[in-house]
Amino acid sequence: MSRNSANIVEIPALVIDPGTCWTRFGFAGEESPEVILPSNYGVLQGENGERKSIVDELQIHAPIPGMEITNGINDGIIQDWESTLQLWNRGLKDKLKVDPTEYAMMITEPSWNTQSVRQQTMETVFEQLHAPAFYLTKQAVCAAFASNKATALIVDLGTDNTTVTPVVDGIAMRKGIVKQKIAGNFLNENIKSLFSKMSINVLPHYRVARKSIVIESSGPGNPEEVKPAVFYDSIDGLTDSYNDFQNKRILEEWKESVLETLEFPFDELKASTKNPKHFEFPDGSNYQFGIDRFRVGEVLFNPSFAFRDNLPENTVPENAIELHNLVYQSILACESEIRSQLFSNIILTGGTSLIPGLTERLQFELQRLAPGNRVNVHTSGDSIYRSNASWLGGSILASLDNFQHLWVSKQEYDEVGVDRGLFVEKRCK
Amino acid sequence: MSGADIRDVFELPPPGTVNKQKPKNQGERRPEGISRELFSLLGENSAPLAIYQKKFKEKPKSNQKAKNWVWHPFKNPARGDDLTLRHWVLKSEAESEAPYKFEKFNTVLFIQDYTDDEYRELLEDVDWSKEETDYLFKLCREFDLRFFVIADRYQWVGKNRTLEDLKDRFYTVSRKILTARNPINGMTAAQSSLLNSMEYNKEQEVIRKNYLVGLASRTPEEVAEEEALFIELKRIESLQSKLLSDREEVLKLLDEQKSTEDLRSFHTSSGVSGLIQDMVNARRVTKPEDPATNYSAPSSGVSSSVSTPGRPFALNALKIRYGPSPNDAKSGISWHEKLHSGCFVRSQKVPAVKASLVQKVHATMNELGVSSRLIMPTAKVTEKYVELQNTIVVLLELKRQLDRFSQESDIQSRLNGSKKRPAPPDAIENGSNKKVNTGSGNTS
Repeated sequence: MSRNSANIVEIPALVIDPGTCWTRFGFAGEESPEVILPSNYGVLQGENGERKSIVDELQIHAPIPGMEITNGINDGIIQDWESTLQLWNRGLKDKLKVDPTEYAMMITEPSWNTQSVRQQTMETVFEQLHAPAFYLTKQAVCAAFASNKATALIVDLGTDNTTVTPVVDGIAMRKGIVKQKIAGNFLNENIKSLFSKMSINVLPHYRVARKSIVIESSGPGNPEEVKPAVFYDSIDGLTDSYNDFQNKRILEEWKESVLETLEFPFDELKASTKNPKHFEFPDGSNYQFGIDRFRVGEVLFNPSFAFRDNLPENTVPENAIELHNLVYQSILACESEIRSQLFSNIILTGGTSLIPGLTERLQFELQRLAPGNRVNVHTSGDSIYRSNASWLGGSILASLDNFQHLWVSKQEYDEVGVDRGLFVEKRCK
Repeated sequence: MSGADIRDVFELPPPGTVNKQKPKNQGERRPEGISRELFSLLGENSAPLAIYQKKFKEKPKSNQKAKNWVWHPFKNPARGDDLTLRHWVLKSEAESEAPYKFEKFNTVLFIQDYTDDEYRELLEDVDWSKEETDYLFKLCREFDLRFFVIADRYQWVGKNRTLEDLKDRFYTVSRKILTARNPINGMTAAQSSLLNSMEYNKEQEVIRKNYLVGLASRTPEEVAEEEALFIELKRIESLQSKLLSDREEVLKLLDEQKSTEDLRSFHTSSGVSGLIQDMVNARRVTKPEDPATNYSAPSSGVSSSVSTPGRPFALNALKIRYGPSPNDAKSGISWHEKLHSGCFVRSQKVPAVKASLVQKVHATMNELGVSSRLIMPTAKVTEKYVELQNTIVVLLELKRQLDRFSQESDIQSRLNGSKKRPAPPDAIENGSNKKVNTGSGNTS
């Protein structure tokens, strides 16, 4: 077949950023992703033994007996391609309403992605989605671009993993990548054990028919009347994964509204001077959280603070170290000349990094570890930018004029043949 | 009740006086053509003014015609394949066939390539096989000589290469090729500058890196210590210049500097008076002059033309009779510099000492056994007391200066180590010694 020049209607490009918890879809050149879908999906066993997947952000919350909630992504890397493809199709065709054959596809990947998964990604995009062009960027590099820096140390506090990646001149340094499993999920476990320690019985949203209402006292001498909550009967046959998933919603809410870290190492006295915050559970019960909310936040900086008594045996990761030590390890693994530049350009991304007080605490601890260097921890002000930083970087990259010659076109893919793995390694640095 | 009673109660007028005339005056007569309702809105009952607020921005006005944009295909010469993309371009630009404006950003660093022969002749190295050298060069080309990244991605079986190793090998090879292909004398300017840029000293770099690591891993105490020393050094340096200028002043002050001029200049009255003024100015620092001798000096110059400035001589020649002088205690006449009006208490008018020195002055007096408050303030006693006070002030000042100078000279001598610097410290010592001698007679 002679070499035809592929006429592509240009720049329209899509950016897909798959994460453990959320998958983000959107157009390149935009400020934020248009569609954010949960990466979890439901699986239902039909009568014939067929597996039906429910990939809808609303329907997965419906309490259907026998529905398991699973995730196609493990450890940040895409493992199950069938479900991932379904998810992407849903996101692109149903929600974003685009035809993938018309758009170049920019996909982000974690810094520790394996070569086989890279190859599979490329194959899926070209052969299942029939996209005309494709590129694979590292999430850390995207986050650096989103903060307008070519050399930076990206600290990504996500759902499953906390990663530290040094990016030098726009390329991630493999030797400096460190990660550990102390992140959003681990915090959730700790919150759960905190609740059980406080004897709070958490019932998820689908069980609550009506919240308990407090009727204000009609006058002095009349006590407040509390109308108790009304619950639905529990439904038999709901899977554990579904229950966990629903409970997770409450834990996440608690995390987003109440969790905080002290700016200095944990001290009972300092923690008690801060105002306690109250949280209302789905059934309407209110509880005040004072010192304990700082205790949970301290877990990131001191894993020994984990609520070990009530945690299941294997959830506390082995060899867990403090966050600032993790960052320090990553920097030490890099060349000595680049270290001072990395110290002064530390960027925090990821949803879990939105905990108030985290930035200041990290800066304080790092400065203590490395007094001879100037430590500067950057964060974007807007919470949208922080949790979607890697998507934003991909969007920036895909819309640049000088990037256009780096796309991998279908033509080039067809010509490669067998050595696709090496080809991907070479082209998508 | 009759009607009249009711009218009384309500104070109504009698029935006959009902107003027959209706107010003829309807106000203004409305002009023709305006409807009744409209007319009623004008005049007194006019509607309140409506304030017109422009809530929206002005419509943007552009004087230019709309430009014409064209969906134009273009090729990027930086790409290997023939990928034709399209983009929006001004019609004028599209027709001008300008090259893709971002093409120039695709710079390629100039990295030498060597043939196998050249390798065998020049570049053989025990530590580096040809394949490894090829691999290194491939990486260099791929990553545009970003050595940090190259060192990160370098994976060669069995070898553990540091960044310095890679840089060393790369630059050595490049230099050898360059010099082999172009002998040094025949090189163009560009090539020789390229050669110079390829200087790489591996040992130096390693040492420098270790130093950098050591610098970065200082403890906070060390950092604080360094900062303190730095500040101290800055202070010493800034005082240096001040010290030198002070020294100059002191030396000038103490040398009688009238050089070898003709003595005849002193024969004239102006010459003598000039000389005496100089000496007075020089001496004024340490000793207040006796006013009497000042006044008599010029007059003696006027009255005689003697060569030497002999003041008593001049006075004797004239045999002038003087009345009682303040030097004569019998006369009771005293001359003062400062005259007070009215009556006053002598002990109150003792000149006060500077607030910062008061404590020290009193301490010194106590040491000497003199009480701070005068018990019997007669003229002579207060005079002596004032004199004592002044000398103590001078003493304290000099002591302070001496301490400072000796410390500075100490630091200087330690700074300079073996270097011999006799003049400055000695001069200062001498200077301060001299000062002290004319003061209260205490030597350091």
